[in-house]
Amino acid sequence: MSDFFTLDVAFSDYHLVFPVAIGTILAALLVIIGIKSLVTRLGSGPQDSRLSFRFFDEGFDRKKLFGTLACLFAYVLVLNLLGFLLSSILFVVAISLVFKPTKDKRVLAGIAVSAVCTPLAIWLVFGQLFDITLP
Amino acid sequence: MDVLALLSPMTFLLVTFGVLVGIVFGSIPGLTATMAVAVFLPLTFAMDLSEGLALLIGLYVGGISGGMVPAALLKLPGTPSSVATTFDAYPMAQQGFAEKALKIGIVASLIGGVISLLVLYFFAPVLSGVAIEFGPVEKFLIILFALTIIASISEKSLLIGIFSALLGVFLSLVGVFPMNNELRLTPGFLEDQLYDGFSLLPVLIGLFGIAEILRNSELGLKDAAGKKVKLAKSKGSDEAKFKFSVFKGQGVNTVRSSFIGTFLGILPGVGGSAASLMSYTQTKNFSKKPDKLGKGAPEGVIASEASNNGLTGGALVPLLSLGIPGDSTTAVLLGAFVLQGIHVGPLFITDNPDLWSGIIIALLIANVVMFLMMFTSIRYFARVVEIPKYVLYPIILVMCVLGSYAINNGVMFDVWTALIFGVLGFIFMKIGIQITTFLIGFILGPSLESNFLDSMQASSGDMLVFFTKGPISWVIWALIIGSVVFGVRSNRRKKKAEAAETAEAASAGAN
Amino acid sequence: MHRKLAALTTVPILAVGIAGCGSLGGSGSENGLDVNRVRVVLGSSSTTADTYQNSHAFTTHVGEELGVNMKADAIGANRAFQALDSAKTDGSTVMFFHDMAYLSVKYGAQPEKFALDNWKVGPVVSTNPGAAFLAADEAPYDTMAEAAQWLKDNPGENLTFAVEAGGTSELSLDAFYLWVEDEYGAEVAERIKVFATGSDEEKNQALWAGNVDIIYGSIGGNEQYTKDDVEDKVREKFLGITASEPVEGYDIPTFKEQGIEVDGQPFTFNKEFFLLMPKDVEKNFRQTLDSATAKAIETDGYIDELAKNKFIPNYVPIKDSKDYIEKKRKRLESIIDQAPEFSDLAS
Repeated sequence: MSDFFTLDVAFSDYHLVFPVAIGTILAALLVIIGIKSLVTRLGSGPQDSRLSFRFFDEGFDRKKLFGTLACLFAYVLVLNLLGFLLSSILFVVAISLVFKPTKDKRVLAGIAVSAVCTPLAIWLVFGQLFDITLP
Repeated sequence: MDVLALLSPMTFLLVTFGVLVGIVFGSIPGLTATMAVAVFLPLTFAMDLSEGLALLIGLYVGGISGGMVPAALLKLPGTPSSVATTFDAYPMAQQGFAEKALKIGIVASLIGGVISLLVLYFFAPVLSGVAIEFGPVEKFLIILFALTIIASISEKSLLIGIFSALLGVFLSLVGVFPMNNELRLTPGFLEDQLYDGFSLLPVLIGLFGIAEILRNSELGLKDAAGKKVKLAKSKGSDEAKFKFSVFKGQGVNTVRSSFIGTFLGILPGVGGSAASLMSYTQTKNFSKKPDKLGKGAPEGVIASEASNNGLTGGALVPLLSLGIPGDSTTAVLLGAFVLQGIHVGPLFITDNPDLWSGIIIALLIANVVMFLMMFTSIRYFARVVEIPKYVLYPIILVMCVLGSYAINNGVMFDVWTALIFGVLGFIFMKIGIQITTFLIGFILGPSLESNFLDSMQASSGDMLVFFTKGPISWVIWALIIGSVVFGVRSNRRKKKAEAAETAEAASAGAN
Repeated sequence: MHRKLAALTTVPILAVGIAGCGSLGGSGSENGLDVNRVRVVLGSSSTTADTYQNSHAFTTHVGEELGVNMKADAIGANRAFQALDSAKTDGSTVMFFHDMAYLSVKYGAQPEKFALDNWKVGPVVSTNPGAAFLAADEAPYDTMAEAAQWLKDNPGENLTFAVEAGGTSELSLDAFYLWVEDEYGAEVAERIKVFATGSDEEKNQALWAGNVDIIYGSIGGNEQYTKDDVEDKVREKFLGITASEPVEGYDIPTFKEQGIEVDGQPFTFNKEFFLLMPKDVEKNFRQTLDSATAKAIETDGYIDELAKNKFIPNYVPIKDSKDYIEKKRKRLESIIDQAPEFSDLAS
């Protein structure tokens, strides 16, 4: 009995105790959750709409979602090349246009102002004043 | 007389400046109180120690308090210890009561801060004993206790709640294990990047900030006409107006939460974030209307904010009475002492009475200044919810990137981490994994592991030690069991109530 | 709409205004350096560790001498090595650390690619002579040598050390282990155990909790726990220091004075702080930095700041530092090679 409650692991393997334990429980939980949902599905009959699981919402905004993702990835990629200030300005312009595609001059001007001011303010306050390391 | 001498205009100015900058750091996701203190640490060397400490304490209090602002307005906790603030403050803000939610949080923060300050002032030496009594075994159990929050916040399915939390724990283990310097769960080609694992802040930013924005862009970023969030005018609506009477009947809750925060602050190595989670659970367990929590109940905001500010004084208890910092921010704070060659230890308070009262006064001023500053300016903060998303989101994203990059002093992989967890969070939303529970697991995972393995190291692997260690561990076990039972029961009751509610849906809004 | 945008832009503009008055002024580099900002990454992420304090003294005074902004970033060994690995050769990033820089590689705590050979060793700048072992005040021994004798006299007992795997604490414990093995035989030495811990704070807590018998600490950091008025449950006492010379003002015997030897030579370990630079760092930067360091190290400001924490200035110029560190490394590595693995010492 007491053996069961003794953790007999060499110190050099201590780093594996938690990953193995948590991993095992996770796998077990996954099985239980799977069985449970199977049972409820079978119980609720074939007309259950949940059978057809959709990842994206119906009629979701493809352009905005993937536009945002693309902008974000591009932003991080160019950060090291162009530095914080320039890449942030470009990013804000790009993503604002993804969020609100427009030709309205007033809105465009607003975007431009925000695109320049936000990164500039952050750069000055945090990068210069507080001496935080920026890209 | 001493007290007056310590209250020099310079000290006052430094505390005020500290609080201001702290609030800015706290309210920007990714910049934390710890980071604010670390940034200003080298400057304190040139100052008188009491002045330097005044500045750092201001930063500490401001930073912890500022975390509530994005938590309430954007559902994006500014610091890990304000995760629980999002539970109720954000729904309130969405209902148009942003200002009220924040004001409740500010008052609760002040009360929590002052209670912890009193505890620090009167009981620091006595309580230092508590910090010693709590070894790895007890700390492991305390973290387990904090994790019982899963039982009260996983509303749909407890099973999935546990799964989400454990998944968080699992991913927090990635990287090197500091006890034996061995890597685990790390793919070979990412060994360099993942050596220290995924950093907490970028993960938090990804899950709450970027994932949320992705979700909104999937929805087309519509400020849906009918649902547009407007700040309810205080004049027009009595409900939107903040009144101190909100705290009526919340006395026990406020005080309990403050004490939970203070107590967890006293325990080194448990992690401050556990405090607000734990007091939130207890508030829900003891609440008369537990089903209101999570939907915009003031008592939830009080619980979280009172306890995370309670942390400030609590974490200073072991620091000033033993030289052991209570949380990560006070660990950096200790650096200010050491830089000046002052080593804080058991005799610090008796040997340095002036410095000691200076710290207490700075802490008091910091709390009051924080209150005045935030209370008077919160109206303007609250307007953030009115900014159209297409203007607000780009700014938030830039700040998210800044915060991720800066949190470990310029690590590009941290920005990738934020992005990865942003996408992951988006996927989690779709497949039903609970993001908050996941994050809680991720936050508490490392201390859960290290305290467990420390216990094993000390007991040569005897796992029964968690039951046999002594009365303290039995008390915590009782709390754990009680909390789980409460949580499960109230969830069940709530499900029944919901079933009943659908039957008489009409009367729901009457409250 | 308009007003909102206006309000939105006012804030950043105001911030710019405030920042403008701030720190934009200092960007001159009169000393012929290509960089006006040197990032000094630290091998320790703690702001309470001796690395931080030593680096603060270094960056302030050498930075002043060079006329550049030197900024210390406490990011920890692995991140610091990585930063150094990808650093430009203009000296914009250098690393500040102590002997653990190569010991951690030897112990396998850091990958081989970060070994000393891959860097240019910069000047040695200071020493922390206070590295010490401590025990609870009521322990039945007062020195390390007595602790070994006690272990021999009490065959049923173990002696557990709080040690950080791959750190300087493991090194000093290794030396003690080898000496005990030599002096009293393997049977006694085998009862020396380790308890893995991290920071000094954790080591203290492990001692107070009774999980360990002896901890590794420092004069500066632990002195406060050794005073008479300290409560019994947290009171500690020094058992010995590893430095080659006793520290002035303290009556703590060195390992050498206690007769602790490895390979017939007294074991001494002075924890020295030095710079690491990218292998092909520009010669101009290297030399400018070296001569600025030589000057700064003589200043009262530098000496006084170190003295606050009982550190001492110790300058080895860049032309000798490589050999100096290499020689020390050889000796220490031969000790490590003879000593048992950490995991074998862990109970």
